[in-house]
Amino acid sequence: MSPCIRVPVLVVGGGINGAGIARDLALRGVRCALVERREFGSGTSWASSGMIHGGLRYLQKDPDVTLHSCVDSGAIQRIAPHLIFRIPFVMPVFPEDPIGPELVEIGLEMYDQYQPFKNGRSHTRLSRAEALRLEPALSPRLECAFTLDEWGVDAARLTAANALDAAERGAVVLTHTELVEWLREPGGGRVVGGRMRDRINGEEFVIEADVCMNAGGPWVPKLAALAGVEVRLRPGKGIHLVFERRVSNLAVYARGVDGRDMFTFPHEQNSMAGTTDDDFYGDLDRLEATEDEVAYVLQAMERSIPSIRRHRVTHTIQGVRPTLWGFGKNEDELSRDYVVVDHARDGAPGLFTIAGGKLAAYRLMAEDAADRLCTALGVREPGRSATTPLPGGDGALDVLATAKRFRTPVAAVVRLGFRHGTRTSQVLADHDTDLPMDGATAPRVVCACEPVLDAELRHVVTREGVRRLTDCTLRVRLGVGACQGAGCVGNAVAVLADALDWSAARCVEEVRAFVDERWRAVAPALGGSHLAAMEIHRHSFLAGRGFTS
Amino acid sequence: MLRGYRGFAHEFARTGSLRALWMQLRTGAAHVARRALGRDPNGDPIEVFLRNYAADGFRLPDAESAALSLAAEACLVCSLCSAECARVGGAPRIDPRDAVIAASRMAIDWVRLELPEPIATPCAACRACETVCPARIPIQRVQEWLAAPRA
Amino acid sequence: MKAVVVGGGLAGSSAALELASRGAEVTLVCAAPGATALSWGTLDVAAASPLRRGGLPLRDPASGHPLAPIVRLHAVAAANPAHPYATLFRERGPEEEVKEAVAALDAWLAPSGLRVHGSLAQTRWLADVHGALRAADLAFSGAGEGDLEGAEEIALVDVPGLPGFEVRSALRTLAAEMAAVGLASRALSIVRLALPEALRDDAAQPARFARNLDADAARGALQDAVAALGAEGRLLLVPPVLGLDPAAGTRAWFEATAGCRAAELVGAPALSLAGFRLDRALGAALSRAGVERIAGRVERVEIEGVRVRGVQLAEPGPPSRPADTAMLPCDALVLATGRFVGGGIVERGGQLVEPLLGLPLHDLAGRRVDSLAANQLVRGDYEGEQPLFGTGVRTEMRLRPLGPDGLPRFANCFAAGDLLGSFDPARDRTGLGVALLSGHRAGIEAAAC
Repeated sequence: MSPCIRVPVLVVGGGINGAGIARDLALRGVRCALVERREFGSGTSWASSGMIHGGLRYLQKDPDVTLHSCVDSGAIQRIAPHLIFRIPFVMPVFPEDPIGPELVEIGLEMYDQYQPFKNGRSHTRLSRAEALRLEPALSPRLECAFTLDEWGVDAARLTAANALDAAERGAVVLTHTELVEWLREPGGGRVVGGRMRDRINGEEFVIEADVCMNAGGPWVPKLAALAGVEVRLRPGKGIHLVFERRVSNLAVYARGVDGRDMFTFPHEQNSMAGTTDDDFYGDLDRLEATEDEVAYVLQAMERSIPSIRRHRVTHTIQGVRPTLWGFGKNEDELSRDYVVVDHARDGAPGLFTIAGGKLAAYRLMAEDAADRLCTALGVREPGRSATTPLPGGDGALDVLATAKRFRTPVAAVVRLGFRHGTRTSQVLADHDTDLPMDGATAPRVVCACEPVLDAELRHVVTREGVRRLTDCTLRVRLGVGACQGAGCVGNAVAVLADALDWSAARCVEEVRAFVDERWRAVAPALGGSHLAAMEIHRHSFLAGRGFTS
Repeated sequence: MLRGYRGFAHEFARTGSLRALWMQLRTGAAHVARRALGRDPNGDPIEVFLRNYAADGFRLPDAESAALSLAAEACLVCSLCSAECARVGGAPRIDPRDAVIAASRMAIDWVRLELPEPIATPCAACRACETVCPARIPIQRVQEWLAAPRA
Repeated sequence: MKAVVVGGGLAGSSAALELASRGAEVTLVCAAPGATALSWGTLDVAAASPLRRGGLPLRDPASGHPLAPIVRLHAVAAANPAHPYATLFRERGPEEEVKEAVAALDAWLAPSGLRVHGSLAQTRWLADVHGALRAADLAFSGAGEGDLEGAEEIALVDVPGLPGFEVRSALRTLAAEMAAVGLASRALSIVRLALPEALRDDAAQPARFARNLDADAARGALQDAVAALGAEGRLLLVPPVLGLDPAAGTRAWFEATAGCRAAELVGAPALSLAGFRLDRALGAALSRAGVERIAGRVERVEIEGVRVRGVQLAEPGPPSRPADTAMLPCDALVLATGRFVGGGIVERGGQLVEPLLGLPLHDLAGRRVDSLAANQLVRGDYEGEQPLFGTGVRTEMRLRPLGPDGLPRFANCFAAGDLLGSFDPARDRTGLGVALLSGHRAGIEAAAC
């Protein structure tokens, strides 16, 4: 008989919604199991623009959506201040733009009324000369420009933080674990849990639950089908280009050749440009940007920033949005953007699905879903996710003091702060005690581009449940800089191998999977000054590092 | 002046709710009135912008910083600059390779954190590192830029 | 006769030294270090990668006997008729020329303290900083003394605080790979170098640490610690920080102090000084041979019909030359500008181009690619064939690049090194071998034209 876990709630899908729901439930004292088939957020969440935005575009349709988005952006700032950073935007208006600057400004004046909810600033209006002074790289063809601001976030870390908080509060949280089949009650057809398979060691086990939540993002239809119910989505693929470093510290609006809004915006250490939105019919597990998508994004950016092609693109990121098809079968449908569905009406009681939505609304969506699940369970606890800080979000980090205390470069502590907030000291303190060698040595830099320290790698393995080298791309931003892993993967895998007792063969497997993933991201946008880096990259991995077959 | 309101009909038609309609009319009327009567007395928009975002580390870009950042993008993380610096006996506080990697990335963070000292100390400026850089990055200028006090 | 060589890596330097030894007046123009300076210590002529898909085999598939490097070279040429080895050795076999070129290189580098170790009759096994095995044809001093054969036991030296070297993982990998290639098992251990307080901070900066070891002060402080590492029959494998200047003999000092064999591990991008040393040693050899070295870029090549007349430098020449000598006349030109790292091939305006002469470029399969973008020439399989990374100029047998009509573009222009197309140096591990042999030949041909 396979081992069994019994919980009130089983959440399948470790993206921002699944993780958010698990955390919300855990805060209410409801124990749940959260299973994710890869790494947290590795489906859609990590590939978002990484902005907790206020929903400017909804002002025309339904200002309530904008209000809720702005209020919730404020909430996320309070619970995870370490994960967010402000992004000032500049919006150039060109003579050929269909919407005139006065209309744009009216829209921004409306938006200004919501800014206080998210600690945002009012817009400003810039003449052509002023705009070019603010951002000299802008196209001089602009007639005027406007500024506003939004908040950026490391979406992968936000997802992981939610999952970690859930785990710390008693949830069973498993990565690299997939649902093989739903468990049904004989006769009634009630969904009572799932049979799981650990994708790393192959072990199968059962999780029994009173209610189950399908939070699989673009995999929602597939998971639903396993229970014999239909959830229709219109999956929309979106890519971003990632530049080697900041192109600007401002975000710049651009318009695609088809009129779509896009931007080049700062994100962590870099700038990103995007995004696209195309109906997707392919394999969700082998997602790659295409040359056409790359060309489309660059063409759009060039209009606002003529010199954009001079900048070095290191790789692409890509994801598929779980956009709702639009179905009206269930009267419990909430807002236009997302739904929480009770499949009792589809003959699968006990199973819920959450689909659609956007990253910025995750906390609201999760709270809503948790409300529904609690109702089904007969639990009357209110949600507390808007007011309880996420791990590391309960204060400010003293960067200088921490750097001095642990003999660590300040640059590294800054980046640690962005990922771990107040827990940074713990990350560095653990390092001293974890090492089996006698005499403590200062943490060493493994990845120069970020930088990532061996201490942080050890931390995410021993305390954050990281199980594979590829997880580290999302969890600590390993190998996503200039060298794309050529200089760091060899040593990163060694740190993980030490902590997880990997065999040499396992190390090779992990490196190979990592390199394959990097290559799929690099190849579509490869060109310019990145060619030299990839020449070195190939020498590094093909001439050395074993690759035992 | 009317050109500034182009697209009005199209955008108006897209309005999705009475609430939105009311907001647009109210804000729109106030806007037209304000524009007709002259510019807002809020002051120089650049000053306003900088005041708004100073605490986040944002400073006006300058041509030198932008040029250095662009040049630094070509870095191969090859560490030849570190080797040559060591060979000639240099010991800058920040290794040339780390300086190039950090250029532009740290600038905004450093200002935001209000660190009391510059990140780098001025190096000997011998430019030995530049002679071996395959990407021909002006490393000494990068070091100088990082060593400059942040306004 | 006056010759100009563009590019100062192994290919360009070999060509220049060969030209100089044949009495030519040689000027070598070099903008910046390239792939040679980023190499890790081995000189791969046709090195085996038996553990990797698509790598050259270690043994003859029929007989099971280990293949000599020179035999693998033949196999490379036979398998890919467009490979530079096929071009070079179509009419005469490689044996004599390879021996000659290697001996010449060894002689040029020896005064700088760098020697070429190994022979082309037999593959040797070296270990790298990750513990992975490198089947090495030849290797330079430093790593070259680290042949695993003949060592009764092997000890990896842990240098505390040195980034880029994870010793426990390296040990596990080394053990596994030695078993995988069928090397006799022997005792593997980790020994720790007890660094005195003064040197501990330095270890965080590998290049500085290496430089300090070249001096008596650090050596004195480490004397006892190094001596404690030795044991009879042991081979000590140290991360590649044994000195910055090969002439200082740090590796030899380490070996003598320890009382047993000691060598460096082959490097990797995060930790390597071998290429740096090689680059400097080549520069010193050029000076000794009387080659004029100009640090700078070539702006334009002056041509007249089918002959190259000279090169125009982007900046004025050095003060040693008469005024206004940004123009270097020449009777022969050797292009050894490398591939992407060296800048011999760049992508401009979304198109691949050879920037000096606009020579046609061909990919690994021989298709003309100079109007294509780089991202159109890559395939999904990282370990498989990549047309982009086999791109370069095609030449005829005398190494003169071909023009669009398939005939040599110029009578007196030659190409060598990574600029040559139809081979993928990373995948087939022939990079420095092609550089040395094509550079050597280009020098001979240029001197004769």
